[in-house]
Amino acid sequence: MKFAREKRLLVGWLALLLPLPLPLNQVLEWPVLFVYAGFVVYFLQRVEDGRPIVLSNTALNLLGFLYLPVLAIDLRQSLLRDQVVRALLHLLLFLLVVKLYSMKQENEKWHILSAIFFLFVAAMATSSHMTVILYLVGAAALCLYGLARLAHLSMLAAVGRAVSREKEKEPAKEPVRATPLPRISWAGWVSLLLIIALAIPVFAAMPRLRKPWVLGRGAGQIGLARTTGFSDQVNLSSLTSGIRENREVVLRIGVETGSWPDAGDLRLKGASFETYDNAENRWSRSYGEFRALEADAEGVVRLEPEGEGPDVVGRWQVSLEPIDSPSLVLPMETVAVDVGPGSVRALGWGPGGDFAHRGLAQRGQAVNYDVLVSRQVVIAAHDGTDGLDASAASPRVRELARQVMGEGSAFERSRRLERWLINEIDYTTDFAGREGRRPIEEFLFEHRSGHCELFATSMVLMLRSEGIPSRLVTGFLGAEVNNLEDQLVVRASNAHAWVEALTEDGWQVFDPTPPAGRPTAPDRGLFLLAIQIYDFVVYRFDRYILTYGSDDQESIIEAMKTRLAELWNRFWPEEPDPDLAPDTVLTTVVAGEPTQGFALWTSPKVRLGGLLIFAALVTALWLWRRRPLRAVEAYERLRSTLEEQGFGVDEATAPLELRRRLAIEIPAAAEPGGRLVDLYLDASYGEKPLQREIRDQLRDLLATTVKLAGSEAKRRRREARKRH
Amino acid sequence: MSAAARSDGISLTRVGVFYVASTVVLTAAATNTGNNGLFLIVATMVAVFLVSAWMARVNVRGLELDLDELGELYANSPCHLRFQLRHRGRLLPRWMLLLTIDPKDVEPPVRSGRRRPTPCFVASLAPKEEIRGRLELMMRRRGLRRVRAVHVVSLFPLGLFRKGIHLRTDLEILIYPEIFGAALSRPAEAGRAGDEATRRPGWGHELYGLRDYHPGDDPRHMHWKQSARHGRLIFQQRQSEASQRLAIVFDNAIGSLKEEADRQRFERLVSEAATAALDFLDDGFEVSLVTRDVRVPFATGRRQRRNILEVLALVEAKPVESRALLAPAQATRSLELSMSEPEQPGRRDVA
Repeated sequence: MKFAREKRLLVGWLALLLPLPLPLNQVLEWPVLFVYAGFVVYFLQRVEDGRPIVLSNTALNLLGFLYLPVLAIDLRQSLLRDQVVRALLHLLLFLLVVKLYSMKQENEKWHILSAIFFLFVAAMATSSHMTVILYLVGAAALCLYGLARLAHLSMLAAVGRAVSREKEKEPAKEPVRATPLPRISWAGWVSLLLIIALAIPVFAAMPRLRKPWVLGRGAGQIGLARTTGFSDQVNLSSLTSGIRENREVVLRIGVETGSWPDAGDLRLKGASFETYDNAENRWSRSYGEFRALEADAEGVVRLEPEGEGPDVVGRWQVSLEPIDSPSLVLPMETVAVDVGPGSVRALGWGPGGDFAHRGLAQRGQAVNYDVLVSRQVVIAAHDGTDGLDASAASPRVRELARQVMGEGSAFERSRRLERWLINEIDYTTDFAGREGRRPIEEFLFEHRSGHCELFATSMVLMLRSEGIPSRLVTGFLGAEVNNLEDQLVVRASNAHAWVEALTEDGWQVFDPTPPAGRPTAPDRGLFLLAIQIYDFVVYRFDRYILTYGSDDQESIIEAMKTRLAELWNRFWPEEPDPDLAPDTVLTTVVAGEPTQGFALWTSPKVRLGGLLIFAALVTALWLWRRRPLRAVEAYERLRSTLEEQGFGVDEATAPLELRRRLAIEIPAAAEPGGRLVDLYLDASYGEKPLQREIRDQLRDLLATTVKLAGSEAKRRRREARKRH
Repeated sequence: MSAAARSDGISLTRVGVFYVASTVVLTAAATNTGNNGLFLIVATMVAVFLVSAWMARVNVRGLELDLDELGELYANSPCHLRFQLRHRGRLLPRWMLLLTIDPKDVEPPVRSGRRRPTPCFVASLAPKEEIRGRLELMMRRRGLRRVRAVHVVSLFPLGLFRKGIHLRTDLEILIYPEIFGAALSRPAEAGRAGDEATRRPGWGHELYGLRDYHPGDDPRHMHWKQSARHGRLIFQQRQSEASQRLAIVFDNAIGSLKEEADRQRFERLVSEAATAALDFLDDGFEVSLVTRDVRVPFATGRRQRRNILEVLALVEAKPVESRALLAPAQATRSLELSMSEPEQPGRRDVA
């Protein structure tokens, strides 16, 4: 292998740097990476010292046999824990280290680079963090340097190969050195920018046949996860901690009128469930029992009859991203919902007493609506007294409920239970070792820890066992204020579960989750602006990169079509139909009041035509200036220039005399000027038509000679001034 | 591209093929999974591919090359041509250019020899910059050759593409016959000798002096006794004889050479004549060359050397003639080379 040291160093550095994000994506353990990095660093050290280790075939076979049982155990453990990616990465890292230490032939560097490329793909595919873009740019720059360097070495080797063949006869020849890669200078940066500029439309235009999926953090444990974490499936045995890490934007709220709410306490209700069965909260009725609500003349659906509910104090614009639920997510203070005329029959009460929509937007598209809000909770108090099904509560749970809740009013007993859960049970998202078959019993009696849905479900079951109607509610708690967007942003990480219970004062909201487990709004303080900028960027990363899909492509195409149509109409406006839109015709006529002459120049068609003519003229001028010169033309220009500069040349000067004077007056210009005169003589008197490439040279010869003549004339004038 | 250059297209290298295959596989994976991380990689790879192709095409544009001879060019021996490479562009420099003379660009066509010529590597060339260098060339046969173009090839920027261009040169070069290590034929005495000897080293009979042996000296003039005495090789120099004149009589009227073996024998004879001429000129002889076409009169020096080599570079077989080819009368020695003796062509001492 030629230039083995350089090539080993190159692949070694790539092998060291590119897998670094894998532990951050939780698909590889840190200790494994440290061990791997140790081997690679040692490899680099040895190569740097000029003492590379090259394992023999026997050692390779031995290592392979030794790794087989490790691989078997690793695969078994991975399959049990649903961590196949992790085992494959272990194998890949092992192979990479072994290949590094056995690199002998030219082709082997490509094997190693292929393995590094797989690691790079794994790191990219399992990352959902914004910094993956920085990683991509850095890795791309490294890989580009590596490829350029390999190409450089390959060309140097082509020079060295011939030398080495000759060594048999000429042993004294010096071997070719691996000179450093020439500096690419600013052109390299321009190329990098060009690559980025080109990659953006390619990324946007590539066909998306599936919804965007992200193999997010902890993918080795939980497999594929949808970017939007909110769904109707509140299955306690399969819940994961991933939702707290999910920064998918679910909801955006813009305040149109009224005051801004406190972002930290903003509670948005999604679905509510009145039945618990087989470790799952569900509706007792099918979704077919959706009961549509009537809207008023403006298309506003009121949750309370007009005049009975609380006063409206504000109007918010809500944009709900696609979620896996028909529930319409609403602030708890919502009095009425405005979806605009035409869509009012799509709103109504869902089977669980929540506010739902049906076909309000196309699948995969955001739902946009306005809500009218009051100062107090409104939507917790609806739909009768369902939610008394306590059949899922075991005797042990019933006994616990009786002990904890004690005596008193329904509200007091509920509040007592809520306090007990907050104080006595810990919040956790670590479910290692739990079977999940009896999640409530495990939560209350064995582990005494869990997440918000376990808290809420336990409270619901205990309340029902004591005869208090209650429901589990899923929704969102808290939001981020983004001043750059001028919006409240609710993310999947704000997902939360709580309880609605029917007490003497009507339906009341209880939240048994300890404060430590509740979603929190981001800190405010000195770094508020930085956080907002970060959110601004993160939102765009989430929205336009991570979750970019076919819907966005359709939107882009629609937007382009609209822009194109606008542009078209600007220059070629459609003739209005006088029968259909007489008012428009009148408006158009009135708008076209300016005088005919002025209107002619302001007409878009005339402007476009003028622009095109101007562009054509500029292009023609440029082409004319760049055309190959005729020899006669070049000679005459040279002669007139020399005449103007005062070199004693005039129209009567013969070509050979001009050349002689040029050599005397401006020796530096003797060669290009003499060549030009020769070409002129060839073309004019020699009957030798000049070839195209020769004519191309004429312009350069003329420019050089004229420049030198100008310099000389300037020097002479300067000297003359000094003398005077 | 100007008419002074001919592009030989752009082609994918093995690395490029692997790159394209990886991109296709990754595109399938991204489309199948909908993973935007993979789409990011694919988009970057596609952009890199396109920019790389564009840069590869641009990298060999705007180049101009002048080529001329550098010294004497002999058959079957590495020789060099001097080149001046100019970059006429204004913006982007040119990187990683490999210059070589493609045998296909030489007229009449030459068969590739034992070894391909060593390319010349130009790491970078700034706009309007001009560099000079040498290109190695190896011709198997003597004669007039026209180097039509110099091949410039580059793997810039990433080795995904090989982009080549032939820069027109149209240089005519004369390849002299192959020179052997030492002349195999010995000239015969043809007249007076030694009567005008002078004290300078040469090819005479009298001893001029002893000196250390230098590589390239004729081993037949080693002084073995002195060598044994001193423990190193001693060479005995002869005095020059001012009037020593060698006539090389090369009879090329031998008919057509149909067999390859005959052609090889003829070429060997030409090389023998050239080697002898150079040897004797170096030793101070006046040398004359007589062929059926040309008679180069007696003379010494570099000009005579060039005259003889040029004649021998272009000499061709002629139809057989009955008339004998005679050495000039002034010659003190003559070397007659002909193909009349098939056993040892060109090795005949003629009295």
